[in-house]
Amino acid sequence: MTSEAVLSRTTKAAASPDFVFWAAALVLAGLVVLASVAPILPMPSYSAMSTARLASPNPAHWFGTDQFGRDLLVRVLFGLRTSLWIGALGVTASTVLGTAVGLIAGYTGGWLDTVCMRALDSLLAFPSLLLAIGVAAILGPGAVSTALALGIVGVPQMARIVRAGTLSESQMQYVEAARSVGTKTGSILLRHILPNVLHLISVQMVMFFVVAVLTEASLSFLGLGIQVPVPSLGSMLKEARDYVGTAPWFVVAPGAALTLSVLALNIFADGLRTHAGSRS
Amino acid sequence: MLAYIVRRVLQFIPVALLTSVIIFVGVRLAPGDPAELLAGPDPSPQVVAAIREKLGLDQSIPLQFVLWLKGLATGDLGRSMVNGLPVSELLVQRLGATFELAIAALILSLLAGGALGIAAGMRPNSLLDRLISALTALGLSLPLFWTGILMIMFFAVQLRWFPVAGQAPLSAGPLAVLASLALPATTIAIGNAPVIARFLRNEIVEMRRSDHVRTAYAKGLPSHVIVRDYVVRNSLIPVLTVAGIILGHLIGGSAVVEIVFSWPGIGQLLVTALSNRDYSVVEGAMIVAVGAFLLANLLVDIGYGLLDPRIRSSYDK
Amino acid sequence: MAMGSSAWASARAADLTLAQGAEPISFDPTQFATGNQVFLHQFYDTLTTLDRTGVPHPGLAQSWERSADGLTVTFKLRDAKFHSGREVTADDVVFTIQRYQDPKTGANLGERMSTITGVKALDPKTVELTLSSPTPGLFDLLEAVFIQDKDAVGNIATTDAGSGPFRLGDFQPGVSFKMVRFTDYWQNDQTKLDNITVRIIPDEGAAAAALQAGEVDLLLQTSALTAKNLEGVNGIKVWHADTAPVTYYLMANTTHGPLANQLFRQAIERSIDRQTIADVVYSGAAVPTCQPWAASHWAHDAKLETECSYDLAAAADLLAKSGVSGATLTVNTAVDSYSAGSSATAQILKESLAQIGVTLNIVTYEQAQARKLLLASDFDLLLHSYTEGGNDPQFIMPSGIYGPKGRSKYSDPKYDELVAAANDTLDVDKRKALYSQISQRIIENADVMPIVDGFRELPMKTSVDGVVLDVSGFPVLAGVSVTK
Repeated sequence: MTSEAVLSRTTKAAASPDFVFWAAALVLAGLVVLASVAPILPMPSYSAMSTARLASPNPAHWFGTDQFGRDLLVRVLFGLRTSLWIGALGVTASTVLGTAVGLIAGYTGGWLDTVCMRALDSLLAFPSLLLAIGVAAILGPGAVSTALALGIVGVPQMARIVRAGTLSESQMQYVEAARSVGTKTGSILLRHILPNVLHLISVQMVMFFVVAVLTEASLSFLGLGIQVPVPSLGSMLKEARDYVGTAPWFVVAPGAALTLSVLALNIFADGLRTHAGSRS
Repeated sequence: MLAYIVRRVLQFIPVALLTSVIIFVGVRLAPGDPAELLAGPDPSPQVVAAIREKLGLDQSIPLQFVLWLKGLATGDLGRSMVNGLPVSELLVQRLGATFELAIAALILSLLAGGALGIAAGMRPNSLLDRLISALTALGLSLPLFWTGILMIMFFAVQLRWFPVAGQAPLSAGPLAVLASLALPATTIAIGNAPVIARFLRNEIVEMRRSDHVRTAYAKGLPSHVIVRDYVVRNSLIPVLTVAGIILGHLIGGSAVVEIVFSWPGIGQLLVTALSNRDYSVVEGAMIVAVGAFLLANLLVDIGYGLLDPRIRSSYDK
Repeated sequence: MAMGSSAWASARAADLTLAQGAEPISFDPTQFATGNQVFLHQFYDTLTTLDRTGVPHPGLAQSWERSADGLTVTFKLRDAKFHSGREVTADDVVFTIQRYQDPKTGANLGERMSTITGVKALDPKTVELTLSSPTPGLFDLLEAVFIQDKDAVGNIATTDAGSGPFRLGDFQPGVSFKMVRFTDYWQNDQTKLDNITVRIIPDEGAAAAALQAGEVDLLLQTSALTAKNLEGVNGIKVWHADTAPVTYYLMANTTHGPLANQLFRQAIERSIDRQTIADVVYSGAAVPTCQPWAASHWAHDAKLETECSYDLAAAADLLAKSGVSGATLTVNTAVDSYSAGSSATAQILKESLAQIGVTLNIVTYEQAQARKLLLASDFDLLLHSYTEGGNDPQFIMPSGIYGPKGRSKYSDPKYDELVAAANDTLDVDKRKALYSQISQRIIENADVMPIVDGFRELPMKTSVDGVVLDVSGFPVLAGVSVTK
């Protein structure tokens, strides 16, 4: 649809100087490392309760404590871990499914392609959060269902992009050549076409990662999604709402961590898109 | 030209139908149903079955779907399974509230986004452009519900400049209405102004590179005249179409902000109705949210098709 | 009468605005949903009302007589009008009772109505009830039977069908509705308010802000935390109800694995840190308990509290004696809008159980799925709540929780005997002794473990007085006054 073309131009940022791009990449890498090593860091467990409830930041608890007396720094780190991990799972699911659909629809054409396109159009018509909420309601609570819900939300966009790429690649000579030699369709798709649309896929993966992280946070904020006591930045913000007047750091810490991650991801994605754009 | 419009509309129909099927079946796949929730604290299976029958849920799903479609054709969206009120009445009310919020947010986004976009576009790659780029990146990265909570924390709880939440009725006077709109509309605008700013910036940069603008500069026309007569005027329509798409998206996409601010809109109605398994309300509200989005896209498509003949042929896949 | 109320009105403001979170599910008094409770005693009237000591007083019934065997009660109705103008007759009472017994409409009173085996109109002003047992809680039950106008029930989505002190005025679905003085009410001179406006404000923060801004006078439902934050704010007071507490409990499905072992369940009972739960989850506004009745109730036996206190050493001991080791259980909780505080309580319980070597997994379901699983007893452990509706112990214990039909799937014939005996006599002392034994068995069985009792807290302006909650927790607002 034309609106796609219109909107894809909207979010293209001014070409940022390289150092901003690399700074974002560095922050991202740092967050990923922190999130990965969180379990082995010498800190209290994220579910360990104490009587120091809703304490403001102090030497013993750098980010303060929550209503159960649990250390907020630990919980924010694990919350970050959850967000990144679930986001990654969701992106993986949507990439695998979306790429498969896109390749097949784009290459085969005909009625199969039309049916797929209409189906994807209908899924795209749903606001992504509402679709995620609906799928989460069907699948029930928990990390796996959340990742699946995110995956389903991401399939249409990935499929369209892969399909568009496949369509143009299908008309190239090398594909024509492979077909005339008798190469099997699967082989053509995986060995010839896929590598040439990989750059499109990778950009979309990062862009959807942003959406996935924010959607997971929103789902947890609404009480669907990750199960307690595993921290999620979204559910921490939900709890923090009750203490807006009394414990502002409880509101600030998880939100800041979430924003920082998403910002780094966004800048990274912008940079990727600029480089990928200059390639083609 | 007519063929293009007809083709577009024809594509719209199966999508709309498929979407309704997805909504209808999807909501029934979620575990639990309204009968269980309405049946009181200690229901026996007969009580639940009786309520289910009363709501028409004992019929097969395809039959329920056909009956619902029939009703849809005559404008009868049924009644809420929870409180028995006509769904169409509920939707009109809630849509009005969401629309009010969306328009206010859109106006703010256009003003802020427009100013930033023009400023950045007129001085591409300058320090100002980079700063605005960073600002827009931040705006796009802030989670809506966090922004909302922070707004409430600072401006409502601490400073007491605005009400904490809720929509002031029109009877309370324009000042009260604006005060209740301020925080939620700003929250949404923070996320959408960047979209407009970036789009406008890119449009302007391209426009300034175009031949007739360069000619105008070469002719020696003053900068502000060029901006007014060439750059801005030519960017207006594209920006308005972006605004249209954003509006279509906001109708269904404002759910979280509506929940944070207790704004009685369509999004909040949807989430509550889903939680109550109020099938008829979920169906009706989803149709509205999705319909608004599809319609906006359709109009934009047709509009672009009218404007640019190249698009008509290249997008006819 | 009208002149009297306007003279009254000039001395005090006669309008009240209150806020609640849920909207009414039509104006049908057979539905006790949270959004409906505000209008029950206002639009409708009951045969009798109970005072604070549990003594019934005449309502629509002017007088009544019990037969010698206690199984037949005859009520004589007074002259009263419905809002439609029609006289209240015995036929309406019969219609109402049958409606409460009909599974399609009367689900809320369900089981309790089964004690009424027959209802007859002897003449337009006389009703005869036949009971299956002496039913000591009869007047508790009748206070929740709201007499309906049999001709007006058809429109109950948009109009009320009652004879109470107020009738429905302006109605904006999802936003607000007005309760307007019904001047032909038989006790109209006791009604102090002319208008009650009910505003629907789903978000607690918004409601609290509205109260502080003076836009509303009273909040009908708040969480303990919101109430605590409003305590001490200028111009606002928090009124504490002493009736109809909400009991938060932990239930074990005794057919699942180690939960069939009574000593294991008792170990869990001793691992519940009730005081911390009351402090953290319910902001100190709830009272720890392990009996089905609140500490202030006559059936409560204070001596029994030591048998269920938080004691991890005793818990470890019981666990060892039970022979169960390395158990892993799942506790079902739900979103706060359905089971307030359940997931927070679960987290505290998880930490306590970890200390005696029991692993607890927490799953938090959304409302509809939580209910589905609950009804099917599809859980290991469940955290939920019920409202102690009614003053009499006979009806305080919901049958879906305690007893043979309970969802814990536990069967204790001795317990059933005691309960039947307690329902069969009207002698208070005999019943007190029986209920002490019943409480003891509940603690020993440890299939249903009450945790805390939460009493309702209603934040309101200091100028508001006279709010009453009946024994089921339903508000009675006719006697409320607002001083300017």
